[in-house]
Amino acid sequence: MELIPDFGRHAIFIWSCYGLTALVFIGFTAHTLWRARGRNK
Amino acid sequence: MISLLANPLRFKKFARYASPIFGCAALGLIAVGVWYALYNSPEDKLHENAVRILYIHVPAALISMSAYGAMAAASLIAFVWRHPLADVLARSMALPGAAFTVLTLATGAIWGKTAWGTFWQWDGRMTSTLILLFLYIGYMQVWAIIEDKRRAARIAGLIAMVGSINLPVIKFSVDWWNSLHQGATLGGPGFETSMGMPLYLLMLGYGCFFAWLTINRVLDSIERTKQKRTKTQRGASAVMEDI
Amino acid sequence: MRALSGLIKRDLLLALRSGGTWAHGLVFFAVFLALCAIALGGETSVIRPLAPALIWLALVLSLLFSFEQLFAGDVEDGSLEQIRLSGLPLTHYVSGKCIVHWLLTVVPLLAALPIAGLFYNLSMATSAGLFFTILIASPALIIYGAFSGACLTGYKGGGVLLVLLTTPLLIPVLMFAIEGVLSYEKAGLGAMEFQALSGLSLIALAIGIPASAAALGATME
Repeated sequence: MELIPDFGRHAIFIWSCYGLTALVFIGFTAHTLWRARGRNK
Repeated sequence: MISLLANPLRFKKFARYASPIFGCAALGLIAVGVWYALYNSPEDKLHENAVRILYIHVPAALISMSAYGAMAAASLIAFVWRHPLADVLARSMALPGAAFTVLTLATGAIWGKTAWGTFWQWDGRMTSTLILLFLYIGYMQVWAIIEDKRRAARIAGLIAMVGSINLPVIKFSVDWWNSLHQGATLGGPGFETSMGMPLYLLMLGYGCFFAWLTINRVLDSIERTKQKRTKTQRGASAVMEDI
Repeated sequence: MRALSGLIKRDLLLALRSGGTWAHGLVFFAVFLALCAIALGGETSVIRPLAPALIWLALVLSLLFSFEQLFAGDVEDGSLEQIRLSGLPLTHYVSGKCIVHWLLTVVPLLAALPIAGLFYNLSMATSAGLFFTILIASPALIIYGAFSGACLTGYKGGGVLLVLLTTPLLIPVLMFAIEGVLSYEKAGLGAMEFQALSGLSLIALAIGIPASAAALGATME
């Protein structure tokens, strides 16, 4: 199975949604973990 | 449970096992959910592959609205029972809630481009979500602008509560207004059961992620308050020593 | 009751002695409508269908900028403390303030409606629709603005934030009002929009006044 499936004509929209969502999640996670590391030092 | 968590120390103990549980659950649920969403679910007959956007749009919308409700409930508890951690909890939920609202709007707009051809329409859901964003921003700004944080807590709490009562009013009036102006009928997405899996997984996953975020933000807040207190205590005791 | 009427009389006197500042809302209303007409090119055919919306926008905007100072004066010079110590419930105080504000902002605007109608070539039905929607919705407009004003009392930079806070609460009012103006022609006062507006005003009365009192109480602590 291909790693990046072919989503046809809506592909760019789908990937931008998932990319945006990933950005938000990763941003929050990174910030939270960084703060937690500072707390537990 | 609510009074159990009123003590910051007890909250920290609760967080010690709650935080990793929610965190790992979120990671697992979202990972599996996304796998289903992208690799293991069919196209929709009408929307083709764009339906995959709904798998991350609907959970975001769910969280953005529930977060506001939780914020309002926490504000009520803080206001009525003077629960010490309740307004900290409310404040901690604001930025994540607002972020999920922005995410809802953005993914919704992109979905709209695929489904209706335009990025924005003044329909019931988009308009009331936009208004929800205003409510979030107003709430966060009040915390920022009022220096006396105890007073800020009360005022912000009032705004959350008044806003929450008006939320159904806003939703009703926007839906009603939109039904008057609606051109084409929007067919609701017809979900097959095979599409339900990624949706429910991601809804749960988003919820766990939000819980993990909130718990950690409350811990941050407790830590910051403690540091401020020890700083003032040290300063005061230094003064006392001189005397 | 006597305390309330005393309060109202005092505020009215203060406003009328302030050298015309009470009329600022009216001025903004007129200027905004003039600008709209100019920006839209002055064609009656373009402006007339938009008139209810533009007049309502002018109303909402001129009101929004008036709420910053609603409680600020009394908080600054300590009158609010005195009033609170005198035992007058803050809800009465807030109600009194809202009544005065209504008399000073909404009533002049209602009086200016016929003139606005002339400038925008409004039909009798549209003008009447505007009059009744403004009248019925005015409690909600005033009270939600007062609530935001109470929350942000004393914060000099609070003006824009006040607009941001009040807008979500006023959007339903605006929606029903515009539709109400249009349906007044067909259904008169029985139109569903007027019932909705009355409902919104009643909700504002029920939660807005106590909430404003609570916000002022928090200010005083």
